[in-house]
Amino acid sequence: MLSISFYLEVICLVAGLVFYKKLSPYYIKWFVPFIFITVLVELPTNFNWIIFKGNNLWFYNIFTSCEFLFYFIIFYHAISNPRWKKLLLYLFPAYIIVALVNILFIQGIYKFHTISYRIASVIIIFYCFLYFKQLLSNDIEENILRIPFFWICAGLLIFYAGFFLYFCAFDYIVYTKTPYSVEYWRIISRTLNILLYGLFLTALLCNLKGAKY
Amino acid sequence: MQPQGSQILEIVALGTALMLFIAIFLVSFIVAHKKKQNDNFKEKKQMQISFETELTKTKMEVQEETRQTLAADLHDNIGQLLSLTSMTLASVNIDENSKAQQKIISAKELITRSIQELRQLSKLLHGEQLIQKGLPKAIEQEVNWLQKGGYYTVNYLNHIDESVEINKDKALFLYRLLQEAINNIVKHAEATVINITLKLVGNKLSLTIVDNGKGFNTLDTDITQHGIGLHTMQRRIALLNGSVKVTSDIGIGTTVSIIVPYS
Repeated sequence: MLSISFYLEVICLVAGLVFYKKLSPYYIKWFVPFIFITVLVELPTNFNWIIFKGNNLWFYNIFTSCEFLFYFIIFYHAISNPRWKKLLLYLFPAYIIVALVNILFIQGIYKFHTISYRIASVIIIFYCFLYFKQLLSNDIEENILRIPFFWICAGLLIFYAGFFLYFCAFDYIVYTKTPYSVEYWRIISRTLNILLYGLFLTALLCNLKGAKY
Repeated sequence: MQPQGSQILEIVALGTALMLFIAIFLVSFIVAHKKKQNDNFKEKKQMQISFETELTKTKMEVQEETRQTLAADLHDNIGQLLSLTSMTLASVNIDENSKAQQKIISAKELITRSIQELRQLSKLLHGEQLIQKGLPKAIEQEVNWLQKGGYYTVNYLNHIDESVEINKDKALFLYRLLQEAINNIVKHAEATVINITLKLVGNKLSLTIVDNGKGFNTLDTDITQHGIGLHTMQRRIALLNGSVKVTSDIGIGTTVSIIVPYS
């Protein structure tokens, strides 16, 4: 059975493709190919296809690392403070190095890269705060419910804040095979994914004419 | 080991729920805060619009007053003087030499007075053009006119640098107030000395007009409300976020102090 979050991802993709020309600012358009790749990555899981025999965590390690790099790029374009923008220019290559060292030499390619995942989560949460601060200090009258990146940020903050603690205890829970850990994982993962893609969908539709806010 | 693992899982689940709650609360707080900020912006904008409307209204009031003064002066003074001149000239009988000469001299005097009145009027209308050169220059011109009359000793102290930019509307308002104050001195004060001081106090402009006339009782509402329009003066100054203070001592003179932000 397909998960609700996967349906939401597909709806996001369709909405992104249908309203592609109307998406603004320009970097919101980049979410369409990003969601397309996400859907492609999650297709085998949802349809129980076996693409890679054996442990496929190495693939998710690469995908989630690239996902973070994508968000860094997006934040680089959304944040207006030059100091924090510049920091992202350093964080981008630094994170590639940290993720590679972690995946190749510390946690290993066949374990989920929780260390670099947690580091990136903290960075994303920090930049979400920065973006919200930027919105509040904007001295203009604006309806933030019609700002797509506000919804994206809300989704990222909820998703990564929600997952952070789980990934802090992830190694212990998974590798000690704690009972009900899989069920817990499913509940948390699905809930957060539904919230994330629900908010992404809102971001794609919020500033279209006729959207009621 | 198992209970420990389950406990950790419960802690993680509770922690995750808490983090989720905090994140959702934060997002809701931002939405609510921004909404409040937007409401404040709207209110501020509304206040700005009403302020500008009031300012325009007052500007029009000042223009209307100027027009009324112009009409009244033309009708009551210049009109009368010219009618009198016309009548005087019409009654001249060239056969009566001495009388005719006297009448011609009278007519000449009436025409001179008419010219003086016309100059006064032109000065009133000239204000807006004068103010283009700056308030200190406009006051200087006003002082020159006063001094030309020869009735008053006028001391004008300007402490304002030319580089200071004064809002044109505010400058015109101040100039009109100065004219009103001087007009009051000329009409009622019986003064011989007028001291005018223009200076900056912090980011405010201070204009002080002092005379050595007969003074008046500032508690006399008949004078303050009707005579010199202090109430109107205060209302206009308040629009510029400024203040006006009138102090007077009978037999000593009157001081009018006006303070307004200059930018």
